[in-house]
Amino acid sequence: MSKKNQDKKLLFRVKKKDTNAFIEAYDLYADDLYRFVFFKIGRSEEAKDLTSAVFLKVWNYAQSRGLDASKSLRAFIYKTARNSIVDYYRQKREGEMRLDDGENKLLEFLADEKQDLVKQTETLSDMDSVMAGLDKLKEEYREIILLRFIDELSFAEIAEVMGKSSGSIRIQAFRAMQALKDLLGENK
Amino acid sequence: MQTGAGMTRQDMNDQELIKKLQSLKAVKPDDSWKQETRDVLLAQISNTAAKEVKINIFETAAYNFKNAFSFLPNTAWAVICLLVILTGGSLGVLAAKNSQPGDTLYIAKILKDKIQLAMTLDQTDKAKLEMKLASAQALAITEVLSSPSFNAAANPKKAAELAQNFQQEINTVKANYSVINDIQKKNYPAVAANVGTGSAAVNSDDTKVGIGNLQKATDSKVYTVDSGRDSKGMQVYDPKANIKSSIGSGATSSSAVITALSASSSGLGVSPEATSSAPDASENINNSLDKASQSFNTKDFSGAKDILNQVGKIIDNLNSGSVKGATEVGTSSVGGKSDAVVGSSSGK
Repeated sequence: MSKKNQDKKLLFRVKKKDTNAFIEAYDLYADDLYRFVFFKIGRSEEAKDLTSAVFLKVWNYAQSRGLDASKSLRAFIYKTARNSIVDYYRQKREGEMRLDDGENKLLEFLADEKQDLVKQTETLSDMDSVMAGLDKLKEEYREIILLRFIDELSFAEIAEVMGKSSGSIRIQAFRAMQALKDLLGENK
Repeated sequence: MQTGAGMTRQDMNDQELIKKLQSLKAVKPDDSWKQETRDVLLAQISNTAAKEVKINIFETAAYNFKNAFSFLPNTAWAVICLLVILTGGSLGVLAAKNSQPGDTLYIAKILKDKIQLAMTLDQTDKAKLEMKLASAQALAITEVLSSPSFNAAANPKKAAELAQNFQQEINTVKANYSVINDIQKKNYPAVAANVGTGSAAVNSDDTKVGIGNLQKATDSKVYTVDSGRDSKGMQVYDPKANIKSSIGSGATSSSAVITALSASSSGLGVSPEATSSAPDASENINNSLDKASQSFNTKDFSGAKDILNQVGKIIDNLNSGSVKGATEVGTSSVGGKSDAVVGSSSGK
């Protein structure tokens, strides 16, 4: 079953308040969501707290108001995460945080014993260069690149997350990639 | 120009950039945290979930169907639904066409007939159509009851209901025939006035109207109620041979013709030669229908069927005759007697 069909089916079941379906959705999207939140706020522990809070919020919303307006469960989860991050910033009163603050945390994710050292080094190198470029992009472009090229959401899903049209997101994604390419070219 | 970890602008292409971006997928939470959070979440949502979820098979089927065609825009769905409704309706009407009283689809046939009636605006045409439909339904009922597959003893309720419906249809035919006669008398008072006088000249316009219609009526065999001829009181009368000789001849012979033809006429068959002793046209139809009812009540369904078949033919001639009459005499139910045309031209 394709990821899109799987998502639709989970949405259908979660609308019916199926707890098993929601846990399946958690298993499917927890890693991606955590990554998204981490790249937005730059702190691992807080990203974990926020991620678990987001899932609980989504479930409570589904219980109280239903998800009739949503076409994608994944998009709804990301949208909730986005709103939660805004609330987080308001609470922290620290404004937008730079990815530099979380850069050292990258090492934690590569501490998996199963990964060999060479691969760890290569991965870190690629990640390092890209993150340098992402850091300099404007927030909107960075978000689109995270959602489209890392978490692999469709344009329709990104449009639902960001509250824009698919066409606008396509154009923005193209421009974001161009901007990132320019930045990465300049860095070198 | 750097190599290795960095790439120059020239070397950077979309694929490579995406590959680098994909490397960020390595950023993941640790498994222990993930499992712990899962357990906590499950405990939390299990407490808030109301009861066991049951998703019925129809919801799943509807969801799967819609999901399979989710690429279609809403307008396409509207068009598909409309096509399904129209196709289903058409198939239903077709299937109902040959349905019999008591069948599941018979109600669809009734509805179709009612719609047809509602769409007929002209009063006379409406009455003729209703006569035709009622006669057909009465015939259908006798066919059901005379069918060997129908066991009246085992289905007394249904048999009683059908008998009641039969009588209602017979009454409907009578009532509408009376309506048609009334309309024709209203539209052709001069012709109607000739009834019973026996004195109108053959060559007058009014008589030509009458003659023309008499001649039209000769195209069909006519049944009269003439008790004593046979057990069913029916005889076949072919007035063609007698039409010219009957006109201008004594009232006695012509009245017999008129009597016979009146039974098949539309009420316009009121001929100038008709005498006051000639029976009213509607009387013959009514008598036929009464005979049919009698046969029905005595369980002589085949006899009732025969009578109704002939009544049906009379009604068909009625309908076709009035159409010709509308063209040639220019009156039908809306014209006046001044539009009367030479009736002989219609006697073909």
